[in-house]
Amino acid sequence: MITVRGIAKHFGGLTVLRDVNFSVAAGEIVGLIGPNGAGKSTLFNILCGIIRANSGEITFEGRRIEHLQPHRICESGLTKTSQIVRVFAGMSVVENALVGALLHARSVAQARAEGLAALKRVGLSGSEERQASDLALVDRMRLELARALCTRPRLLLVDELMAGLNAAEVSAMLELLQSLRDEGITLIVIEHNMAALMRLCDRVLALDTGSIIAQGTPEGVSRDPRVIESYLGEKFARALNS
Amino acid sequence: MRTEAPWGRRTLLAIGALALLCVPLLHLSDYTMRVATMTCVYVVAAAGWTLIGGYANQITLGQATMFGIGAYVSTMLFVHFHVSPWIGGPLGAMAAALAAAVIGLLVFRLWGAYFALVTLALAEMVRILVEYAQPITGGPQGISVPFVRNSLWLLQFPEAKDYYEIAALLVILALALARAVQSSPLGYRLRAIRDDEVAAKLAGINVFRTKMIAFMLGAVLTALAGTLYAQITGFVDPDSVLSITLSVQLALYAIIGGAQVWWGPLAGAALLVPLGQAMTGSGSGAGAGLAKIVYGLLLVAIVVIQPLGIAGFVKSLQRRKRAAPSEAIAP
Repeated sequence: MITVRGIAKHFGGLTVLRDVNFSVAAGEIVGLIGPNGAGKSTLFNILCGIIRANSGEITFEGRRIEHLQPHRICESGLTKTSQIVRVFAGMSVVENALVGALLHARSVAQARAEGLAALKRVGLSGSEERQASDLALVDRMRLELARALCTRPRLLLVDELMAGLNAAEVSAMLELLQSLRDEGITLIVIEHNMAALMRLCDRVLALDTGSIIAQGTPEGVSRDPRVIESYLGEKFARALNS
Repeated sequence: MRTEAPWGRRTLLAIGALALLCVPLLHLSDYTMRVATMTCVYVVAAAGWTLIGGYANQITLGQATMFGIGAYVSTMLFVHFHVSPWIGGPLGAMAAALAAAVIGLLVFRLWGAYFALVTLALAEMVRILVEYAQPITGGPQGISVPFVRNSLWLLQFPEAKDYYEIAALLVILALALARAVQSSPLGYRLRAIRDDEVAAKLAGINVFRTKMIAFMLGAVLTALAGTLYAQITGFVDPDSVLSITLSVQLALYAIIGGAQVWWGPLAGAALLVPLGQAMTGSGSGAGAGLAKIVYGLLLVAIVVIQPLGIAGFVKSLQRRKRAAPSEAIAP
């Protein structure tokens, strides 16, 4: 589905990504973990075209995309939800979703219908006509997910969608993400909630100081000494694997 | 749901348009009709600004360039080649759209204050260029449009008030376009850009192209207003059609009226143009100074109380009205 080779990114003298290599197969749910500042969100932004890498190649469904504009990448079926929630605050909830659906819909009416369906999907039915800025943070995150779904992605990057959710909400979100995969959407998920991640993901990539330091099954990665040292910590890893 | 305008609203709009066309039946004074005609010209020009400045919040302070191009192109064609403004106007609009494309290419990567400042600087450059190109533009002295005869084909009438119907028709056309854009995919994309450009890109919006379309469409409207202005006043010079003052005025009309809705420019210009005229009409001395202070205070008051302008007032009133009945039902 997607293959990333030799991605490097510097901001001035600061190296954020050194040499990132990985690939994700269609239908996988892959977790991306690592300490703050490891470069996870930067990597997502590069994949979506919001930031350009200094070097490296990204091949999405057989096509090189590292030089494409974000809207072209989105058109080709790759988009993300943001860690810092980005809804269109001046629009109603349904209008937010509708904007994403305009990418493929033939009319505003059709886009609205698709938007309503996506809102139902993420559990925002009943809030359609509310102002997006009036929603609670959790609902704004859901709204962003709905908008992303409306662009009909085949690969969706999810940046910390479970931060601030309670246990029941995490379960619902996990179920939703799994159902997206069942529909054929491949997912890469940045998440600090390790327990949730281990339930959700087929595979985990661990990023630290700009490179992938470990990858494999959630259990394997959570036992990896480098991951424990840089991210999880001894005690937490033991608790997680017990 | 706001997907389809109910019949009631459409009827209301039709009545409004008809009323606008019927103003001359009121037999108002020549002066009042002149002000009404000029108000129409500025409504159209400000509507052009709204498409990019209001809908997408790309605050351009160079819209006078479009007005000036419309005024100069039709006037130069008329004076030098005897081309009717009915042809010169659309040609001027095309020239303005082209200018918008070039300017857009230069400025759309900038944001916020930088965008505003660069559009202002570019507009000043255009003004200076026109002043230097004296042989064809008349330079700082400008060009007079010679009065040939009372003729619809030459768009020449003896009095400003005689232009009213044409100006009103142009208002209806411009606002119909602005309204159509607002509820079209383009309108939604512009609003998305206004709220969050990065999120708009992630939702698959070609931000550059979207801004460009709006900017060029707006340039066409403002340029047509410029042509009409030149015909009405019979005189075009850089100070009146290419100045920073005009750029700021157009932005102001739209912002005070409510730049995020199609009828904002109408509300803003209908309030401020007559007020501005009354102000200049109040003579010199303390009276004129006082009028200017009142004008300034009014602008400040509107922006402080309701940043979304007159349209913002109306919206909050509507919201209150909608909220009221449910309160009445509640025990």
